[in-house]
Amino acid sequence: MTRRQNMSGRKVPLWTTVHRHPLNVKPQGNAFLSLEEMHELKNVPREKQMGHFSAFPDELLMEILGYIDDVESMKNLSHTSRVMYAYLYDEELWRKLYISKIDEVNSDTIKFKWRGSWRSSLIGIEYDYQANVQISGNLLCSDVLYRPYQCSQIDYNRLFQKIIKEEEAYRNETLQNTYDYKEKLVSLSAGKILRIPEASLGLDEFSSKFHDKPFILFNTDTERWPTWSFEQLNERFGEVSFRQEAVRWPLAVYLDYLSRNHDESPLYLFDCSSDAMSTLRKEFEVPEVFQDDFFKAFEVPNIDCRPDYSWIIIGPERSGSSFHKDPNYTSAWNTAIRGKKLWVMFPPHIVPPGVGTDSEESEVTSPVGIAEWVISGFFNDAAVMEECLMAVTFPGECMHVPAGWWHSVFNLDDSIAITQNFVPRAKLYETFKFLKHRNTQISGFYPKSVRDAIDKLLVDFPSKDENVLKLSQYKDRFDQLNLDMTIQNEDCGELSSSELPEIPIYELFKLLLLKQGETELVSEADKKLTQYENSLTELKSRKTAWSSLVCNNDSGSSKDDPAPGTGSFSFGFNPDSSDEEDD
Amino acid sequence: MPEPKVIIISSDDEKFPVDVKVAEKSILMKKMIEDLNPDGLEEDFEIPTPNVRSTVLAKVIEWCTHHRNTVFPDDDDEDARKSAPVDEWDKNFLKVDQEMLYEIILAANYLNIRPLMDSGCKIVAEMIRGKSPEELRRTFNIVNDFSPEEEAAIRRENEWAEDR
Repeated sequence: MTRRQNMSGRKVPLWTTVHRHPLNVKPQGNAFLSLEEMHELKNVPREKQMGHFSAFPDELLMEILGYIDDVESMKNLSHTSRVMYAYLYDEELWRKLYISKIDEVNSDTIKFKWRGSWRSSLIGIEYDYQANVQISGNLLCSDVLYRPYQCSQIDYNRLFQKIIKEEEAYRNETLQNTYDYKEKLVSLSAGKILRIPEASLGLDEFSSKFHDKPFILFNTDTERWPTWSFEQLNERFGEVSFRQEAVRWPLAVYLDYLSRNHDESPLYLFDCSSDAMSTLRKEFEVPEVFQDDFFKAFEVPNIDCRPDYSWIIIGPERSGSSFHKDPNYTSAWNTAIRGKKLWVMFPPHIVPPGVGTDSEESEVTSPVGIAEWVISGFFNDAAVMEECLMAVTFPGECMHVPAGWWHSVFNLDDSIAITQNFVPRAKLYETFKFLKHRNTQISGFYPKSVRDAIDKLLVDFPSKDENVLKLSQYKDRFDQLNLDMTIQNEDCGELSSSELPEIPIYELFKLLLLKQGETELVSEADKKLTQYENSLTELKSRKTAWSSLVCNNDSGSSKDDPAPGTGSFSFGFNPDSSDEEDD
Repeated sequence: MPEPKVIIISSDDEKFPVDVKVAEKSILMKKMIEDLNPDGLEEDFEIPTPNVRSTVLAKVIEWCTHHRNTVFPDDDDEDARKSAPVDEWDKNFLKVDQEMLYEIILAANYLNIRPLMDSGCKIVAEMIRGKSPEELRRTFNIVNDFSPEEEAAIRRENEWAEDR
């Protein structure tokens, strides 16, 4: 079998994802079918059931309905006709209404009972007691209404059964005494992710061979990782509030939500600072190779400005994260405690299908949610790409996500996981490069705590080299500005326009490492950085020369040449890919 | 030579010459002007709007002219946009019959004039607020065909609702 055929074996059958809408709303395409049937039925036509609202296309109508800002009005409008009931059945409308309301009051202080859907919870009735008036025939065909429901019904265990089976088999293999990861490294089929026994991987090997490869650490000791169940966590921390994206519910409420919801992209619990987290953190040990973490420098006494990096993640089946790179060019590890996770990963230079980004990657746009990404066909596009790696992690398995790698995660079951970001020594140069040259993309640092850290640190650096200067400039400017508290304590990644200078994290990081005595590593990384910067200057001058050449050429033939300004130009073809078709 | 104008043409072929600054309140027109005149306008530039009637277009242009120098909050900040009260001038400006209001919203949507959309949608939301289903049917001319069983189920949605 050729590699490409092997790859196409990863595609999933998308026609299996069609389900009946609870109100019998049909996909848009049905509008073209069985028109006669519609006339036979003695229905009031859709337009009449919508009255004036029929003037608007579906997307616009949903947007207008999004301006209604109280539950009673939403409910009353839904009670005007069957078709209006269907439009106002959309979960996203009710979810947005709730979230806009809790902006004013903290969601952990108001009593909130989850009843199976946002609509039923806000109206205050059990999910099954809703009227669910039925739309007959093809009276209402609307993708705007149907698609989110379709996404909410996706069954990943069925859809991904083939890859789950393969991964299960591979995992069982690792549990045999005979498993040798070095042998496996050679025989592993393309697109798969290597499993390595935790005890076999030392820091040297990680730093030399594996720091920029995804791999899964496993351990045959079943007590290596905590085995918290949902019930146990609920018993211990049911009353404790955790952060779930825009809301902050007590765990007990969230677990009700987790057990039944109809969201297209279910709320994901991602918490680092709850009271529970400080307890839970003591119940596991970070794998040794991942303990080598240079961002610890931001945690030392008096400095204390490290971005949040240690999280518990809880999410229902179907939750997950769409494609992203981790912040500040950090690497990450992620251990599944409960539930399987499907990982889809791309190396840093390959933008995944369905994802849009600019050359600096300052903005990333992708479809609404991961289900939409699959249903729209992007998963199958990704599946046939050689650069695309996929794996399933089972409870007790720990995924390594190298810095800069695109990754998307699908929870195949109700899931609990722990994850941490870190900066391994092998990534020091690239982290420097990111912090210095992608300054506006830095996130997780707060102006006030950075200012205070500078204040404390500079006591130890009396000399005025350029790093010290940059740091003291930041501090001085901060002190002059008399900033609003909300700005002082705002994530620097969220501060779009402020009078503050660029946040000098690169300089701060470097001096912190020097203070710790990492002179050799720092100067090595800095040397590479200078080389990189020199190559940039060289490229720029070459580009200027090139552009002036091209501009002087009036023949108009220059369109076949690489466009000026694209710098390092690559067609992105794998040199041997053309041969494989003939295998 | 006078400044070149943008000539906006309605669906019924009426021509509205306006300043670039006024036309640019519409992001759609702004992009068209920029993309097709990379060196700035050198002569009058026509933009047809084939789904906006002249009476509606006249209103939209009136709005754009009034707000030619207004700085609106960030487009991306959905919460801020939605929670801000309707601008007083806009409120008066949008005291029109319902059909005109809807057409203005449709035109604002098509021409991508976010703040006008916001105002229009908020007025519609106000028309919805505080009304019973029966009053809503009258206001928006909605015809209902619930069966008696469905009526009963709907009623239960109200009756069973516990204190929130």
